[in-house]
Amino acid sequence: MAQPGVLQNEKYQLREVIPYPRAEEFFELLQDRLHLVVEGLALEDRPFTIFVNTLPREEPTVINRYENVPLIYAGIPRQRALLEGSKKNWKKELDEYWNYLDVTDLLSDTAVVSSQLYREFNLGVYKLEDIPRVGMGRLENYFASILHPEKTDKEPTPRQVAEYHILKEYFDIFTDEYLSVPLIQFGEFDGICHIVYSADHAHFFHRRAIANLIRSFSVMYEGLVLDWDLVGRNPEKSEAIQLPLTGIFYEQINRNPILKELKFDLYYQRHLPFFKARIRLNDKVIHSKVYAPYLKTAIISIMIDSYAHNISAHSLVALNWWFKRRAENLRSTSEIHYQEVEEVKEIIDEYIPKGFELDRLTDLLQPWMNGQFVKEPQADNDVIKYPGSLAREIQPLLGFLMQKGAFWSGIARDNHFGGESRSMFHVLWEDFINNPLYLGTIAKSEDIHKISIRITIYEPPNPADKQHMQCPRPKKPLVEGVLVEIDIKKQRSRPEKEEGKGYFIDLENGDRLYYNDHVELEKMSSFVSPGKDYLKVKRALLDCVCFFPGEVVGRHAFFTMLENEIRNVKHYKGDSLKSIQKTGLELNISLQETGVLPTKTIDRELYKIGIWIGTPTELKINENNSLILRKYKTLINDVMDGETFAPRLGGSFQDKICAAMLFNNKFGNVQRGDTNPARNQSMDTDRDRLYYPWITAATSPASNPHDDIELCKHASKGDLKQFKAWYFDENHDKGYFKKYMHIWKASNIKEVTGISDADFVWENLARFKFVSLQNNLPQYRMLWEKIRSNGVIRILNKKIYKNKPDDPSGIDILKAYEQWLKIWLPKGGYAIKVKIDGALTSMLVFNRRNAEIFRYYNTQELEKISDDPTANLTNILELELAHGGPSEDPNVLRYRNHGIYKTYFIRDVRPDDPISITSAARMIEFFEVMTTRICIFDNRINHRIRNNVREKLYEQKLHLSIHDEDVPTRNEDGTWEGKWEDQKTQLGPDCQFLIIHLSFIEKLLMTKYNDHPDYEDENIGLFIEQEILPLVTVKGEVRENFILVITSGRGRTKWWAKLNENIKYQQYTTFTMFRPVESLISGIEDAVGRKDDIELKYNLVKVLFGT
Amino acid sequence: MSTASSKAAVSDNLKGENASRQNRIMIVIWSWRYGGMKENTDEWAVEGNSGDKLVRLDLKMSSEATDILQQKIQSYAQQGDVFVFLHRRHGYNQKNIKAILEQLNVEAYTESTIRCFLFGEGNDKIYIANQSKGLLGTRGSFSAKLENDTMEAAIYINAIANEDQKLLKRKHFDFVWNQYSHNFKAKIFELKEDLFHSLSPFLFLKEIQAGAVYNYIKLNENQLLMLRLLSFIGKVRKGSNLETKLREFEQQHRRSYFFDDCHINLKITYGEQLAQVYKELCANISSGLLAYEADFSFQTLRNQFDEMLQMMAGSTYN
Repeated sequence: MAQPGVLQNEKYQLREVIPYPRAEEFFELLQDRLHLVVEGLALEDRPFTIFVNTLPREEPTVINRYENVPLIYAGIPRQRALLEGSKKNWKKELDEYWNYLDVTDLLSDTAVVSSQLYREFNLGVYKLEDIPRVGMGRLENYFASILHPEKTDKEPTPRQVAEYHILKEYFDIFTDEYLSVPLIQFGEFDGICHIVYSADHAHFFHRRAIANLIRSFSVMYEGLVLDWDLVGRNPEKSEAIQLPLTGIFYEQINRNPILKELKFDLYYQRHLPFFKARIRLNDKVIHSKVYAPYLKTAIISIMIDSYAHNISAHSLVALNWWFKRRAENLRSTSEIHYQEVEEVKEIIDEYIPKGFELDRLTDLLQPWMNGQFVKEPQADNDVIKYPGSLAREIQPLLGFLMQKGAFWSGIARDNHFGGESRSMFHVLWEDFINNPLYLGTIAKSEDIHKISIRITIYEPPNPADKQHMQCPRPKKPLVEGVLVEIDIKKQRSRPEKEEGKGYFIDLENGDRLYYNDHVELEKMSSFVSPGKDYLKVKRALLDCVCFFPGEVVGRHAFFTMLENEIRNVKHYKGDSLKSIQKTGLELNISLQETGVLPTKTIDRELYKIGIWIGTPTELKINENNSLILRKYKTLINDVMDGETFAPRLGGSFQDKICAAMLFNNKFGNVQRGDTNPARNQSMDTDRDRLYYPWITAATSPASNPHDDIELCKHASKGDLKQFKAWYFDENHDKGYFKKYMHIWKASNIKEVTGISDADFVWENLARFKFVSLQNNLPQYRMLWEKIRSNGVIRILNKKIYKNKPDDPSGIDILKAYEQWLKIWLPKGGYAIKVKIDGALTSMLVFNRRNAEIFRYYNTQELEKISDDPTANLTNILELELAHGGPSEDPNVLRYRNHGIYKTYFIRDVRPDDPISITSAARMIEFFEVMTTRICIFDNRINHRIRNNVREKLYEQKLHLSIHDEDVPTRNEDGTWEGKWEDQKTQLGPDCQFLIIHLSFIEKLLMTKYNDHPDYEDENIGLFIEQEILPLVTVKGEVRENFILVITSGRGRTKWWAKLNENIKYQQYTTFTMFRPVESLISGIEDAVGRKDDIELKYNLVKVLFGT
Repeated sequence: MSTASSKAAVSDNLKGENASRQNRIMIVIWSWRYGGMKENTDEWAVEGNSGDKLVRLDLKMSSEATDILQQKIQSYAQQGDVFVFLHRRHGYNQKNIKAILEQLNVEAYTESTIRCFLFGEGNDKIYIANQSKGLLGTRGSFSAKLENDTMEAAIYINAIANEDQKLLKRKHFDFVWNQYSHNFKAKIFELKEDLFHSLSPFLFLKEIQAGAVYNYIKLNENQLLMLRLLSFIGKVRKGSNLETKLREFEQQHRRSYFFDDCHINLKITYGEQLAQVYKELCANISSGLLAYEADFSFQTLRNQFDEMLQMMAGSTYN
């Protein structure tokens, strides 16, 4: 016979059980709350406990309401704590029983009470009045199989045994009692609660109290479920909760008599507004809570699309085709080549006598004999028909892709410690322009193979104009011209050579560029040509020193915006497109110094960067819309769909994300300043609100590319109608379509005086080489940590007098370095002796006791001084430089004529002239570079150096030791040995940068600490605590001149989150930072390839300091 | 008197010890401006009253530079013998020497001797760091402070006798002049001695298989000898891997091995006859010693070297 509450419709018998995130924690809290309810029955004076048997909530399941389902013991650790008190009071002998219950499931075929009761309650077998009969009893009866085995043929279950041993310690097993009640939430039976209590308290559990208990349990459970929404996103939950709130549920889905008796339907009806409000509020909070992780995912999706689009769909498709043709040609002509080689050999054998001449000729012909050459002279494209190697073109492409990889992992990681300061010229030339295979093919689908880059430097804006934020913003060019031309189909002619002056290229305007004066031309691909205005544009760009957050990450954020602009050529049609196809695409980049605060007119902390295609386009979309309006509306939008969080793909959003990163040092800040109420805006600053959405759309008429109209939310004051009317009135039909964004200027010294907005909101501290902070400030330590968290390493503890911002004389830098080296170098005096051919040519002395802390002695001064300035100094570094620069001698340091040593450090130093302030500032920087001790444990970096005869020289003279990731092994006596163990003891007071690959740390943790209670994946806090702190702690404090640098090629962030989350480890973040391994490897590769040891160290130090 | 013998006679005078000798002038192209020379050029006299002088010139190689240099040489050749020292890093090579000497028509200068030397990388005897009695110090100066692990204290060496009067120390000037007076002869003599010493295992063999000597010289342990021979016969091209290797040996041994400045000087300074002997010697090295020539004779090779050295007047060393 069917039970009264059972539904015959199978569809209604099924129930979806949704998971709770972190279910174990949930049940701990549930146990606690249920305990509180029972406590309310005045049971405080005697012990009681509750076994909560409930549906597991680890993963989504569908159950049949009326069939057997496994239940679990929920919240056992909390139950034990509530029964036994604090951990120290726990009875050890009970561990095994509690632990058993904690992991066991209740299956109905062996369960004595729970599962059967649960099923029967669900079936509606019992009413409320039946509970005292079926759900109450004495423990003696429950444990009859244990206490009186002779009276029963049932064997006790292991769970009963465990329960028995626990309960007998705190209850009278013969007299005390239990009560089993259903656990109900939102109209569904979720389990059974077994309350075990003293017989003295039995009178509390009368029928009315039982009903109240069940209802109170429900209230507690439901409250927790609603709260639990905040722990993780659970969109299914609101649906699961809302269904039982309707009356239909009790009529059609769950007709259980207990639900009816307890009037659950009425209860939910009466309190429906409360539940609805709770769910709505929760949704809002959840939205804001989950916004950030969804945003991160959206950013990654949007940026991956940039790879898929710019690189894969356009560039690589074209390159793949061209190189396929080359490869096929090589395959088809290889036989011919071998025959030709045989022919040449025969000629040689016949006519050249054996001996040196023959050997030499064969040697010289070896590359041709062993090589393969393309023979396709008819091809219309030099990339296809060029017979020799295209390594000079392929390498920059591979380097570019490698950097793109670092960029993408930077997007995933989105923690950028510091950055780099580089001139716009070097950034464009070295990392972007000399890559013709990429730039020449990015617009291949529009049949464009020629690109020129035109630069315009604008006069800074008029402060008054800036304050008024008018849309018309005409600009005045100071310098403009074509920097470079790239034609992937046609190689330029080879450079000519002039006796004594070397190779040169003549420009259209008559300028002659000698390779000796412009070393960057040496590496230039033959598909790249300097533009006609190369000289003046180069000079102007060299003066624009920009800050790129996260080094390679910031650089490629900028490049992505340039690539997107090139791809915008797809919008050109008809004659405009034909013209571009014929003459090439002109990518325009403009730079204009400007201030970050509209009200502040003196400081110009930013470069406003403009990017556009130098061919006018139709600016009007139709009678009601224009490009500028459409762009504005797009940019002001969220990068995700408001409802579904789906990423909005496309170049505009890629640009927006990249511009946000360049301005805020973080991709994740892309929506900061947006007024979307679903987003948590509590962290937004006035700067965010002013600069969001980071890009300003602009146009200028075809007749004057500098007569800009910019549309930003402040300029339009939100009144787009008015703007539209005005814009259309002005007849802006055809012209240039531009985007503007900002990059910070790199700068030298910043003084922080307190926790003011001026220093922390309207500034980007990471762009400074030095930040000074007076150590007598009341919030000194807090400020110091805040500055360090911006990635600034050189924090001075004294004010540095500044003549004016970035005094060109270099006096500020010199003074700042003097202060800094007092902190950075361990105690004592230091000297560097520079020798060539054994002769002392100069000496650099740093003596903190002298009035003149840093002193450079030139050759003449050295010859004249009678007292040795190094007499009392303990640290003397002798640098033997190669005569003239290059050398194969592994005992001398090499440098290039065009390298950093000659072109920067000693550029203006003369052997007999007193050193200028500017040169002294450079030489003290050289001092920092050479004395900074770096120790690296990273296989990838080690591979660039290993088997190098100079390894010892690097260690002794460059203070640079590089090791592989050799995992220590344990000796029989229990001590550890290996390179790590040997080297770490030598870190002592000297090592300033310890660079370790994240994977190596994990290997060390796994090897040495896998049984440590705090051991877990990526817990570098434990590694620092155990392995690093003992080495770098002085008087209880970590040395201020120690930085631990973590390298990783992947976008892993867990280690940083763990370091930040754990209070014990948080302090380590002040000396721990991250650097992309690609930056370090590039620095080393460049210098090793160029055979420049000084530059090797310089590159590394530059990357490590971030400026 | 034939041109060759008149040249030999002039060369014979290049001793520098006696008072009857001609004035001696060194023109040194080097990084003088880096060392503080304010003008493009200046002159330094030598202590002890004489017409000896050192002319400082800081001039990167160019067609104009060649003209300036030729004018200087012409002018100073009126006053005495002229040694021109060209810094390789300033862009000079053997081709420039050839051009300069040929255009000057050096053979017409019967009363004075003109020679051109290439130097650089700190391996030549003109450097103080190479020879304590040298002239060129560190960074465009006449002085150097030498320091190494074996020295108890730094040694300061200065070739200047009086800076205000622009006066150089005689012993430094004489040393360098004498070294370079004999430079070519000494270098060739040393090559010959090292060659025959190295080939001693073959010298007493009755029969030598064709190519055996060449294959022996080709061995890795004889690489330096091979390169010196190749430089001697003019087969080391500037910028080639052979040049790089020989430069490495120079740096390693702190000794000058290149003959790049030798060929043209031999011909122009010692005359056509010696040039002919040199040419034959080179041919014999190239097609005999460094080939599979069955008729190759050590005796002929030795005779050619000896003849050549004899024709170069003056002693081999001081």
